Amino acid sequence: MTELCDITLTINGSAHRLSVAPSLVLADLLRETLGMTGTKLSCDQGVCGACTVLIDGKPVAACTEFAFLADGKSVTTIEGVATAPGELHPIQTAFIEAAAFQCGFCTSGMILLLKGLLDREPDPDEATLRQWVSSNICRCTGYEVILDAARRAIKQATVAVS
Amino acid sequence: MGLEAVMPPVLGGAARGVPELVGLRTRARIARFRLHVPATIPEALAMKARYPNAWFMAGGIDVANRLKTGAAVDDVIYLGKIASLHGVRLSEAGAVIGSTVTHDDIATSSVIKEACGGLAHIWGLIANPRIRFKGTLGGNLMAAEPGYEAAVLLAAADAKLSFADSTTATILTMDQFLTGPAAASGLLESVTIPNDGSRRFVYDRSLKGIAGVAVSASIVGGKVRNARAAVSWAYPRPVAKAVSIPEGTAASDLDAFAGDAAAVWCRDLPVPVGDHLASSAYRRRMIEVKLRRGLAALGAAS
Repeated sequence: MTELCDITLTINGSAHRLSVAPSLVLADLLRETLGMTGTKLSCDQGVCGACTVLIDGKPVAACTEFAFLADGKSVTTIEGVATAPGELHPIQTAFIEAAAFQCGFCTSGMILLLKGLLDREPDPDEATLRQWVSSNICRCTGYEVILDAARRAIKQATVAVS
Repeated sequence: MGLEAVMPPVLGGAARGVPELVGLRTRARIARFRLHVPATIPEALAMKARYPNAWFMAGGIDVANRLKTGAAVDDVIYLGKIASLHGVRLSEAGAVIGSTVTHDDIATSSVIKEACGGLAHIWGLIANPRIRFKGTLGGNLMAAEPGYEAAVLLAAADAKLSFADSTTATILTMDQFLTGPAAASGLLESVTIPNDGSRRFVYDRSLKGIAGVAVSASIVGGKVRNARAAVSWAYPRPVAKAVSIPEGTAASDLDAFAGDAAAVWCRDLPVPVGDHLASSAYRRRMIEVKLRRGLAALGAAS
C-alpha cells in the first residue's frame, strides 16, 4: 500500500526523482511542480489533445495520465522538442514556415503529436496523417495549414535522408 | 465585491470537499486514493478481497475520467506490473490477448494481422492515437461504455473471455459477458479470438453515436460460414447474434443475400435507445442499412 509514490522519470533528457501522490496527474506535475507550462490544459478530459506529451515516444494526454505511471519512462514536452539550444525541431520550423497557428494554444500538443507520428512513421500516407491530426482539436486554423506544416516536415525529412 | 478565486491544491489532488467553482469534469476533482501494485494475479485478487471496493486499473484513462467527475475511490489496484496480463500469442483456440494489452499493440500485432483478417486494421482506428497507446483491451471492455468498440468487435468475432477469481477461472462467451451481470466477477485475464485464419471482419463505426455495426464470417473455400454481427451505441451494451446465410453461399454472392439477411437479423432486435442523437426508429433503420452494407462489403473483400 502506498500513500506516496517514489518515481524516477526523465523529462526532456533530465532525470527527476520525485515523491508524488498516486492521484497526481502528469499535467500538474509538469506545470505546477516543475513549472513547465508549455503543456497546455484545455478540455481537461483527455479529448482535445492540447496537453499531449510523449512518453517513451508515444503521444499521451497529460491531463488524464497519472504521474506515477511515468515512473521509469522518458517524457518529452514541448520544452524539449528543439534539437539544440537555439535550434528548432524541423516540425517547429515547418509550423512557422506554414504559419500553422493562430492563437497557438493547440500548437504544442500538435507538434508533439506529429513528432510522435513521424518518429514512428516518417512518411505516412495522407489518410494516416489526417487521422492523427484530426485527433487534436484546433478551433482557429481549419487544419489545412497544420497539415501543410506536417507535409513540409515530412518532405524535409525525406529530402534529408535521400 | 469581487469573487474570490478558489484554487484547489494541486499536489495530490483535491480534498473531498470540492470547491464550487470548478468544472463538472476536471482533474481538480480527483480525490486521493491508496495505490496497490501487485506483481501477480493471485496478489491482485488478494488485494481485491482485502479492499472489495477497490478499482482495478490498467491504462488509467477511465479511472482518471471517473475520478474527474467527482467519483471517489479509496483504493486502486494497478495491474500494469503483472506480466502474465501482457502479450498477444497464438494458441490452438485462436489469438489470445492479455487484458492489459493496448489497442495499438493489438493493431500492430503480427499475430492479429495474420490470424484475424482485417481486425488489426479496424482496431488501429479505434478512438485516437493517444487513446490507442494508453487504453487497454481490458479497460475498454470492463468500462462497459456503450460507445467503446472492443466489445462490439469481439462480439462479432465470437470471442471468449477468461476471468480469474480466487478459487477458479471462468470462461465467458461474449454473449454471456454482455447479457450477464453488469459487473463481471474476478479479474479479466485475457480474451481469445477464435480463428483458424479464415475469419474476416468489416466494421461500420459510428462517429456520432448512432449505431456501429461489426460483421464477421469465416470464408472457407470461397463459401460463407458462421456469420455474426454486433451493434454498438444503439443499446446500453452491444447486441450480437449469428447472421443467417443460406448454407453454401459463395462469398462473391453475399451481396445478393445481404438485404434479406439484414432484415431477418433485425426482425427480433430489442428496441434501440432513442436520445438527443437519434430516435429509436432512426437507429433501427441505420442498423439494418449498415448490416446490409457490411455483409456486401464482406463478400466484396473476400
